[in-house]
Amino acid sequence: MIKLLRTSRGFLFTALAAGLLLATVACGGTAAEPVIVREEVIKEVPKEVVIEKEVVKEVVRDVPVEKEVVKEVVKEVAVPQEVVKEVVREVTPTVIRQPVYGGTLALAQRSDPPTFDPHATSFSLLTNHVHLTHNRVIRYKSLAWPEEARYGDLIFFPDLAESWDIDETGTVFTFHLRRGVKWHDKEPLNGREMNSEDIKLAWKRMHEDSSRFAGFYDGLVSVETPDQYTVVQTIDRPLASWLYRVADGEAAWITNQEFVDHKGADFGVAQDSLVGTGPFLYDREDPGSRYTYVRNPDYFEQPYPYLDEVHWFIIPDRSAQEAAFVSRQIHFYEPRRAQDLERIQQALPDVKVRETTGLANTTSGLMFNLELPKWQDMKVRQAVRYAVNNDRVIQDLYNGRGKYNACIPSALRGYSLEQDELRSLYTYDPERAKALLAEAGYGPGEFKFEIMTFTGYSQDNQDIAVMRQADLQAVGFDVSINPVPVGEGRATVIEGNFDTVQQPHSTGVEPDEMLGGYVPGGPRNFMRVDDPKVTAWMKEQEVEFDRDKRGAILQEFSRYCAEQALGIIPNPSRVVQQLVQSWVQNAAIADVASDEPDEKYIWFAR
Amino acid sequence: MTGYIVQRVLLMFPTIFLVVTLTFALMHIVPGDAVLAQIEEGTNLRPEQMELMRERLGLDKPLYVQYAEWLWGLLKFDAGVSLFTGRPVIDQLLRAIPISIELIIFSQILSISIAIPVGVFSAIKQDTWLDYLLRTTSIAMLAAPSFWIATLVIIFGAYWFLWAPPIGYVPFWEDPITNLKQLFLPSAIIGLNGSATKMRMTRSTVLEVLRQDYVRTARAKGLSETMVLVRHVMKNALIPVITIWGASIAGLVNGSIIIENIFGLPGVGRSMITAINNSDMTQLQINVLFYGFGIMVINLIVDISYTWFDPRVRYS
Repeated sequence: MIKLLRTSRGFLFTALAAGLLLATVACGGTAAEPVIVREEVIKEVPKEVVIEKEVVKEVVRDVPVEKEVVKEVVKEVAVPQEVVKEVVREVTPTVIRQPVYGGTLALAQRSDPPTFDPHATSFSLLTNHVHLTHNRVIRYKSLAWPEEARYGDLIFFPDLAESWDIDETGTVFTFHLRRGVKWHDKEPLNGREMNSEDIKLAWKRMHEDSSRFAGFYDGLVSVETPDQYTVVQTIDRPLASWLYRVADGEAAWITNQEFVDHKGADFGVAQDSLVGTGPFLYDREDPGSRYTYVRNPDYFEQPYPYLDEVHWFIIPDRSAQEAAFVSRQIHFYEPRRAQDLERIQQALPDVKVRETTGLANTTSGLMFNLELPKWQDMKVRQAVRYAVNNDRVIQDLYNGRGKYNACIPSALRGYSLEQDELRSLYTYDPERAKALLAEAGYGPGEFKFEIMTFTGYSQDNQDIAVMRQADLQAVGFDVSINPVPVGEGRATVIEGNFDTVQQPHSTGVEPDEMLGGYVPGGPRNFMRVDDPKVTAWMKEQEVEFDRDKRGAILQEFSRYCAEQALGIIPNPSRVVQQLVQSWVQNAAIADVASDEPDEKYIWFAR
Repeated sequence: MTGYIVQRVLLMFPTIFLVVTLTFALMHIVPGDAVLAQIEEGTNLRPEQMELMRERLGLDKPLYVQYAEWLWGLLKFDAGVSLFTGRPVIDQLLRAIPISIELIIFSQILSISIAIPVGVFSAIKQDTWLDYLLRTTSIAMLAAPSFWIATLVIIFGAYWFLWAPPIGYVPFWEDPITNLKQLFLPSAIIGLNGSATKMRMTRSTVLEVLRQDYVRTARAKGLSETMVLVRHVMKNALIPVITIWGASIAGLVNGSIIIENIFGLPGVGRSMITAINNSDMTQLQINVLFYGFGIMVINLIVDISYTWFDPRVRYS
């Protein structure tokens, strides 16, 4: 109380808040008791490597190796200029720790899943749950121990299939299934073994009109099951992206048709529709409040999972989510700003920070409606491109921790352009912007347009819209911002009734998904791009199985997209930072391919 | 009296009809529908699939048909299913009602138990420093938006005490202690915010009544000051306060919508915000129906209560 009164905050608020809070605290606290491992001793052997332009990061990983854990610290240090020094410290293992069973992981999301049918939505509100209960035929290698992929590697990894082959035509994919995989012990499956027919029917369901992902699996000709443990997919043309689609973290979940039929019209309505082969079983739903999952004792990958339960809490308000993390009620929290991170670290000094050197796989940006004649003048679009200051976004909004993006985002390693080139393509040059605007025949204040933003969705996009508005007005554009609720905004964009919009454009781990937004008739071609060169690149890259050659095509597309300011001025991406409670072990950062850490690998140090 | 009540109850139906019709019309003025609201930027939906979804949800029919079908369903006690989740909307509403009612009851108990004693005290101590302090405090409570107070209380509560209300709503009958921990702060914030108006109104009406002849007569009869206050002043002074309280119910509903969202309480208010964001017409309509009906019933009770507080009031 003394400390409280000593603060410089206004007395009035202090009295009010203190009264309320003291009364509440009198009811008793519920904060979970953290277990902090204090006896770690780290022996460091510094080794210095100089690399160019790397972001500042510190990654701390606890790596259990049988009965001992290697504590490894990788630290990169920022240098203000172009070259950044990376210091890698190798650490001698001194901590003996073993994964232990038990514990309840608490996570938070902003809203209930709209449905519990894995093939009826791509909202992460549902995929957060589905990856607990379901599997895919193949998946991406996890960032968590023992797989330890690097962020953005996107290495295919066995899931329900233990191996796979592609024939020489690139159209026939054979998957060899694991034996002994059991469906959840729920009616009518009662824990029976999964077989190739189940996989065939699941893919059939994904491909039907009722599936949200039917378009994603266009090209699937047939699925054969030569035996109980082999599935053969045939597609109508070679597609470099096909395996990505089979491994997709939003679409490719294997449901059981027998169970779907058993539930009938009720399938997807409630949480009890989530019956699969995954590491957790659905247990209880309290809509609007909490969804509970319990350990699947028959999970095919033993000894996982370690946790007894996973609880997904519904907390719509970000402040409330932050408070829940600070009061130790949830185990993960992703602060939006550097100052939020610092504030939480001061309150909880033991908290762990995970961050990526890679970036989000979503392209967001300022999109033009190219159907409007005023945006068909390339000089005007280029003026916009030169007018916007991406460095300011990185500095002011991302606290200096971000990267430039192109039409193919930086997270898609091997397909995106290097940062140096992106900086020159999206350079900030207000004088050039003014000149281009004048060349297009517009004086100061003569070119008016509106930026639509979505409320209740991405705060970054709303903030960036305001920054873009200031940049553009400084060079002579007359810009207004029109914030609309997200549902209304999406509808307006799809119907084409907008001028420009600041919003996410594409998301995915595969360039095909990005390019879908630039091809005439493409499902996400919100900007109404119709450019024969882009269409040709799209076709060329989709049959190119050589990753380097495919990367070259896509890089050429990104260059063209930037030079022409074709449809979108991409936002820079922030480095993702995630806070984890100190006793949570082996929690990998969410990869570009998955929204959440692999819960099956997590254990608590208690 | 009975005739008056019957008349008021009958009047509710056209009022409710107007409210839901207006809501329906307003929701269709804004672009988009429940199908478009379900589409993320990563969608691969084909246009024909979207049409199929609209057909399944009945959104392909003319507006007047959609509305007539909804009304007809309501008359058959079938409010339909959520356009977004597919769950029966009545289930969602019935789950949410106890939470909102509990929040409103707690907040009103707190609000009245603060406002009336403080208002009376302030009137008795008119123009003393205590009166000034209480009036200033009440203005501050009025001026501070409840959502702002709520955010500050949550954040500073977490940072100063490493405490926040328990997450994951628990019904009172399952765990009363946890339930009270979850409801105390939101109720307090709504209650304090609402108590300011009532406190100021109580003060001014008590001051007015204190100057009436019958109060002087009561004192002249030798009644104690407490007896004068309780028996002669309070009963007469409370009528305008009750009117204010009845009128504040609509505002209270607005406040609870925001507070429920901030504190993660799955009440009717939060359900409304979700329904609006998702263009979920059927869920929104049933929630509006509930709120509209609730407000009218409370106003009716308030009107009827006048006859108890002031026997001169008669309805015919």
